[in-house]
Amino acid sequence: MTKAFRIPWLLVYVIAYLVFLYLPVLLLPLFSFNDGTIVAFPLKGFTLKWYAQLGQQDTLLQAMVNSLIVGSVTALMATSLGLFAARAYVRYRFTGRELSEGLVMLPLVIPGIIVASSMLVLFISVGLKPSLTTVILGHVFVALPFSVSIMKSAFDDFDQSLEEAAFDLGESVVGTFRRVTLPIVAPGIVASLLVTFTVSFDEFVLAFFLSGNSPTLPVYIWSQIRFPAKLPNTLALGSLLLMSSVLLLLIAEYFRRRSTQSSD
Amino acid sequence: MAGVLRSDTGKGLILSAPATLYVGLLVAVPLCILVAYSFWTQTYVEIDRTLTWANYQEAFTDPLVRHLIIRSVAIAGAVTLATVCLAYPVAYFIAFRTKKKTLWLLLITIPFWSSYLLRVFSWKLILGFNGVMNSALISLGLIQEPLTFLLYNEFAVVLTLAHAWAPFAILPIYVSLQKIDRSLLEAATDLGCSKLERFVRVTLPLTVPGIIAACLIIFIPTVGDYVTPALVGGSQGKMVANLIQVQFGAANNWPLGATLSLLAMLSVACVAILFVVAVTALGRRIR
Amino acid sequence: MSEQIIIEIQGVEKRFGSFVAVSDLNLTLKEGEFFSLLGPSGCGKTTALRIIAGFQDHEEGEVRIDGRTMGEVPANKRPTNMVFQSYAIFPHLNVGDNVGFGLRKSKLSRKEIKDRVAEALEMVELGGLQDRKANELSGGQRQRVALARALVMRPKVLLLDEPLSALDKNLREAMQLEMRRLQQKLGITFVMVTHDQYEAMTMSDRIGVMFAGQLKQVDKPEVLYSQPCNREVASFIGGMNFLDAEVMAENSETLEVTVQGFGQMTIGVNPNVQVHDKELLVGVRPEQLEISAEKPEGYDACVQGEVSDVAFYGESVHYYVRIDGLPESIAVAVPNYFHTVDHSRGDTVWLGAQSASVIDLGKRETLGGDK
Repeated sequence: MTKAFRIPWLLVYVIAYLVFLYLPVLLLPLFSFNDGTIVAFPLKGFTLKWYAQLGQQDTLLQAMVNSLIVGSVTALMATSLGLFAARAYVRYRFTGRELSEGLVMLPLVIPGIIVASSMLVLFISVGLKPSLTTVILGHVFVALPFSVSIMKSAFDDFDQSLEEAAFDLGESVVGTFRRVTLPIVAPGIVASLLVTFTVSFDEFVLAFFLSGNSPTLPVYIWSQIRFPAKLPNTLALGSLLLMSSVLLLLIAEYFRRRSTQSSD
Repeated sequence: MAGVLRSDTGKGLILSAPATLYVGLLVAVPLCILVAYSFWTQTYVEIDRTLTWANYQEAFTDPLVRHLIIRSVAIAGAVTLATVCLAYPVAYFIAFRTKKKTLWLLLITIPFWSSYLLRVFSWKLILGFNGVMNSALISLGLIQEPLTFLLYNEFAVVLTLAHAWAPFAILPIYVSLQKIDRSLLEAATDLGCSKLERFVRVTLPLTVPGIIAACLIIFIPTVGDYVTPALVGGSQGKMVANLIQVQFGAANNWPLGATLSLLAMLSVACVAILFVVAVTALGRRIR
Repeated sequence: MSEQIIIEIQGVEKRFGSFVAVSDLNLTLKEGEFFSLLGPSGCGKTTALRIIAGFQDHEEGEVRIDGRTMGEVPANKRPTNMVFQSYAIFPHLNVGDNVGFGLRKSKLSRKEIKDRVAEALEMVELGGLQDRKANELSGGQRQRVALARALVMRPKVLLLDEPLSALDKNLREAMQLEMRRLQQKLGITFVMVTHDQYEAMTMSDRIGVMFAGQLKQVDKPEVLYSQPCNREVASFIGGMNFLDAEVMAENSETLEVTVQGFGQMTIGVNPNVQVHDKELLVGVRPEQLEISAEKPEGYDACVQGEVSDVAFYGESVHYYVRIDGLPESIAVAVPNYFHTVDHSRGDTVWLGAQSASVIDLGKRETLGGDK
């Protein structure tokens, strides 16, 4: 059977779209190795010096530590809240379930500037000075929808008779959770931890309003963007962040898949 | 009491309570305080707690505020339209034209797990006067002088945000395309529809829920976006969030900032509700 | 089977809101018995099983297992174990750890657990598969692992929730025989829930038939077949032609009846029927009717009719015969001894019935009375 060759327009479009998506993301690493201070073609030559300089900047390292602290605590808090809530949504039919589910997803659709300004006002009103604590409280708020939806899909694929079987075989309620529920949803928990960590690690507007004198990494980068002389360093830093984010997310995706595949 | 705790309702409420309360309190309480602030005024470093409409008067009479809110809504609308239109064919491709769906979905989402700030910044580098785009075009000999219309205007804001929101449009539309029972499409063909008719009369109407979801999830946060207009918007591309930030920052006028936040939220809600009502009404008329 | 009573259920009732899932359930099971709860989906049989297991609380009544009142005893403390419909094989554990799951809580040593697991796997013919991963098992193997995992606990009662419904037909039939053999060897009481009448009949010592939350009849398979207590049970166990009849005279053992279409006969009183009335319903099994071109000799009642449909089943041929004055065709099943289909549509045939095969089904219910 012969068929006249037709240009697959849709495929061409989709590939062009992919280029559009990846262009800004791949540009940073490209120019971070460029031996020149101006981000423009043609490229000047390969260098690692911008990366090497990063290690000598104390404020940067402090911001990095701040971001790691905020990210870790946020991940733990959001994932624990999400774990219990998701379990309730999937397992129990109760009055107010839909209302609660909708409310928990709300942070996804509130403009960041409004979350940021209203939280700043709240924390000042109750006497909480802007600090890492206030950033964490804000980040848990925006990370929660991610954690809840990841944990929900982990519990969705979880056959309830597995818990009943464990209970039937003589395990206690706590033992059943530890020996059956937890191991099976563990990949989901890991995925949630990684995603919420990344959300917090990359978040800028809230941190900008709430971090006070202890900037997180994105706030630090924001302060550096203004200075053209610092541009190559910022590029190097950005590339490092990009790569670590993508790496974390790929790991998270791997665990999320395992959580949905293992229980069929 | 013990009975309630052992029932499904009891267990469900207890397990979901921490998350619900956390979000509920962090939405409701700041909103109340914001409302309170909007009726107060700032006198230098002190807050004057006498209730007054002064902030609202200022917001409504100042042409800059009105202009910024209208521009924010307009830019957000343009961003939403551009993002959804650009994304629809991609979602369609993943849903109908490829077997490796998860791989494609992963490919689409990976760029968005990098810092939003950095992606916007990267666009600034691409579109700048001495930026990547201009230097590349000059190196290729396509242009002699750098193009100036690329950066610091509404176009730059729309382009950057259409990039930033891509997965939020692709994913909901993909899900609604994926849900379509393939036999419906075969039935439409069987009943004499051409490919284009089939798309307009069956596929498109069935993806309306996904399109609405995509529009809302893009439009609402975009109205309040801060980073993009600040980095690539220039003076033409400033939006309401930048003004709000100024009130909470340099201008140190929190009551006015609170008022602007509330007004921004209100206009977002109005436009969103109008949009949903209009689309639903339109949907009924088509049927 | 001993005469020792192992399960006693008295007046158990379970409601979900206003819906009565199980009403006034009374049941006594003996040690070593294979008992099936049979009924259509939604009849409450699974709820009843889950009440015995302790997964479902109940409003009224009492469950006693092995002489102990269960009351608030939770599922993990009951001397019962369950084979779940989905088998509920733990996906994160291998076969050996699945089977040994419940033994971890016992005081057995590692070695003893290992031996018990091996023994249980031998029993279900999966010897040596301890290290096999859960997701590498076939449907039949999952079922065996579920069985071994429950049996290794040495329960007083094994509960099975539609244990074979996930298997395909051939495997299901093989497993029916195998499970029956296993049960007889171990002497443990099995309580199985099923909607498959053949499965229930081939495996069970006794069957309880449930409809709409009520246990209608508990009997041996052959009694359920020959003396069903009402129309519902009769139609759920095998096929049945229902005919209206009128009682002319009766004594304690026999009824003198006029059966619609077939005329006068003397039939035995069905001891399982609760209410008799002048307006009687009787039933005749399709396989117990004679069909021939000529009027058959030696039958208590003969009637002429016209073949309206023929269905070839392989092992048997079903003829549907229209008889003047009867609202529905009469089904007749003929074993396919000689690979022949003797009558075709439109043929005039004779049906012959023995009065011994006409079953008394008690008072005729008006439509819409008892579903």
